[in-house]
Amino acid sequence: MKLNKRVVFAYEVTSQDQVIQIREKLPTCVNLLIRAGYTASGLFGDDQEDNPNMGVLALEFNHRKVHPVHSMVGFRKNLQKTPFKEVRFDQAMIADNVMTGYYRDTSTIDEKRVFTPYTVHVYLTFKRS
Amino acid sequence: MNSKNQIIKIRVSSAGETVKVSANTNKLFEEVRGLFVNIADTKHHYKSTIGLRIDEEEIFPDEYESSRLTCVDSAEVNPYYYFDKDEFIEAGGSKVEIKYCDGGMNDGVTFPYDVNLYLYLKNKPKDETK
Repeated sequence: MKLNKRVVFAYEVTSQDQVIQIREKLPTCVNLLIRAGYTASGLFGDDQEDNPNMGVLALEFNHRKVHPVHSMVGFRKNLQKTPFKEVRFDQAMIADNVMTGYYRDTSTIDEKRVFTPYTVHVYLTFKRS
Repeated sequence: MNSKNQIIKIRVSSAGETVKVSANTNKLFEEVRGLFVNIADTKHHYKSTIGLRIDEEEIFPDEYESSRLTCVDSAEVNPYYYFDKDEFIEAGGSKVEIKYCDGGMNDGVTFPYDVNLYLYLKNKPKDETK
């Protein structure tokens, strides 16, 4: 059996323009981060519309020396076409690594939109040592 | 036969239910190369998660959204989530443990419903020169 380690972090966005500070201890059994992906989900109802500007996600690794993710997170009503943004890279992880960063809600940057609570998921894939 | 799709069914009876299912992979195949999750009514994917362990190893953590492992609405697109080339997930009768958590959506959806987990099993190509 030889498999990569997959980790998911979920962040609940409960208020308009909310800023969530991200600080997560990463598993110690891994040494190389090869992929990061993220989605916004949890919105439901006929009144929901696609929104490419749900929020801004920034992720840093290796004590803030590596900053591979700084991007908009989008939402699509059709679950099967949910955009899954993925960043592929090889990054050696240092010991006791912590993922830091933030998520800032911008879902109502278009003033016609009404804020609805939702969840942002961050998916990480690590290659095991 | 070099490959096979093995289906594992999960029956969900009510909103918010957590269902644990155990099964074994087909003994005739060496490797799990990919999988996908199929639910007839895609509204059930709302906030639903699926965790998967094979042979005591965590493949997907419990918080993994089922919608990330489903197929797109097109017959032309291969629906499978494939594991990376450098990964080897042993089949050969391995124990498969699934933990499916329904997202709790009960408005406009029906219960019970079935979640079908398709495992794509494969044997390594034999060296025909021997």
